[in-house]
Amino acid sequence: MSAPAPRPPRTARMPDFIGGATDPDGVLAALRLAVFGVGSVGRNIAIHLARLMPRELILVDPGHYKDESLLTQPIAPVDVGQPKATNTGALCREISPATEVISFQAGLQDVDRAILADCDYVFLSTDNLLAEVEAARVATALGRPLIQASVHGDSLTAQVRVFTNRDGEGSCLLCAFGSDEWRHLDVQTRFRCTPAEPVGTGAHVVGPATFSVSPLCAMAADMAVLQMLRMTLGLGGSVGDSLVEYNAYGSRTVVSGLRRNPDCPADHVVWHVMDAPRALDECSLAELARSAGVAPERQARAAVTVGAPSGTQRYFASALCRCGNPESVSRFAAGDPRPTVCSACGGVATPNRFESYDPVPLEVVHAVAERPLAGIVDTPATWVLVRDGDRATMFRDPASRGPTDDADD
Amino acid sequence: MMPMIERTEPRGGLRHLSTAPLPAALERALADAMRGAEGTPTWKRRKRAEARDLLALGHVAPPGRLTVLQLDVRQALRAVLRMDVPVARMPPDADSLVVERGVTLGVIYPEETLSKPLPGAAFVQILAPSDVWSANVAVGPVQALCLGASLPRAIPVKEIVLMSWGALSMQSTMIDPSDPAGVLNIEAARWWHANRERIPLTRTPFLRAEEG
Repeated sequence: MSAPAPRPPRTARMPDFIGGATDPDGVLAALRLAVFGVGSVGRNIAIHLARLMPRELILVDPGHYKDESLLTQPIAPVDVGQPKATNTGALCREISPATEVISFQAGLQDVDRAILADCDYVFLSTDNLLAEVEAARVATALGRPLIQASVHGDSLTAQVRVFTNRDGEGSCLLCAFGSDEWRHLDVQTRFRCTPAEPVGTGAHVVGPATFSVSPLCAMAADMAVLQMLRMTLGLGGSVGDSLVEYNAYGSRTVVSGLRRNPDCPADHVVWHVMDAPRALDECSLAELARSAGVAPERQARAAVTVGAPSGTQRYFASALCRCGNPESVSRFAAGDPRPTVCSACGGVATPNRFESYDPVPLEVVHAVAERPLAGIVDTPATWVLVRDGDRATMFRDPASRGPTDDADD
Repeated sequence: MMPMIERTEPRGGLRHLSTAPLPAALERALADAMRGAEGTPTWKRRKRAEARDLLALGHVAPPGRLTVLQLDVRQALRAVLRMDVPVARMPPDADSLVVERGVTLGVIYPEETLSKPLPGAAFVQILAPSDVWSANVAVGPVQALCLGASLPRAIPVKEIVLMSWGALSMQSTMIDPSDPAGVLNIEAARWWHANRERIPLTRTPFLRAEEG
């Protein structure tokens, strides 16, 4: 494959923004951005972001383009049937070869939190409520600004909400959920009981198609990226924790504030992201707890979550054999842990879900708390969260990419 | 182990469960459990309310119908319950169905349920007896109890307990192996489909004592 032709520098068309940052070129070049949902709105966002030539662009979408996508999404007929994330990623890479484009043909829950921890902004453009819930949780926990773009086709309305997620005191996406959203979430989410799959897997969403028109979707994307530019380059007043709504019927724009809902069910604690004291798989959970500043008298009450490239790992304390013999497992696993052989009959014991935990209190894992992680995980841990009351510390492997909060300080 | 409390009066069914007075020993048990509770203020409040409902449910139910054996609210709400319900078993050495009384249930109520629906098999595991013979119960030593394809966000624990009663007594059960929601034991589904006259195992509602 031949090398792409050189692209013009970002500055070739960069305006001299009134009252803006002194070095917009450098600021934009350093951006790490994520887009959850690259459909009618999100693909437009991704393309806009690629033209800003950021350092990194992460695209997440489990879907494929359909025939109907031609009606609202900036794709060509040849794109129909293609996976949305990888197809959009390829286009973005063509526009900006210098940008590291990472495409996840997956749901958000399957994307490594350690990668998302580096993002400067998270864009959300999906009408999948389960994905919205997950995006809200991720962005709030990682303290990353979340910009949600959406449309209401019937009223020709485009909406953009900006959640700064600075300190956990502001509004999160779920703060604004009303009874309708919660009801739809229940109605749209489906699972399947099947003996072949681990219990609790296989969520999918059965929702109505979004009816809109292409320019409205593009308008929502335009507004979302402009809000990010304003935040990043300091253009105009603050756009944090605000809702901008454009209604095409009346050509009117309304801006309103977003407030914290005291009854919001979401956890608003912002994680402190830092490097593990050494390679993560060499650290023990007790060592990480100490590094997180958990006082000795609190060690038993603190809890840990062990991350994996896809989701989190559950701690399995025991397994049960058909002969009735319980076996100790004491391991973390992303799905079912690796088979445990029964010491009584030699059969394979089944992981006991009732004695499994995520997160797991440190006192439950005390038997293995001083052992290196490598010896107690089935899948290499990409991050570990230590939670002590309202304090949460996310440890990443020091060899992983990106600056940490410590480096920012 | 939770304290054993003598039941005094049946009290107004489930509508007033959250305000029904608890005996002092159960209040103390609840307070003891809550001392170890971690999580956000919202989650702690919710765990307290759910744990209290669970204890109250055992209290208002007929004697022995529901006993809370263990209660752990450190992270997720976890409870071990003894439920006096007829349960169908098919032990490997039995030549026909065995119906016994009484199951031990492990209930996990995770914080996730506050923000999204969870699969119906995510909450309850039958800890004893083994070899429960139901389309809604997973085969093997770890017996997950499926209460439906998906349970609504923030479903109360008391509803999970009542659904467990319904599923085990087979007052509400799913025995169609071709149902898109699926079943956890296809063989049992077929068996019960062929033996529908044996369903349910009891018609007694959870809050009413067995007759006779």
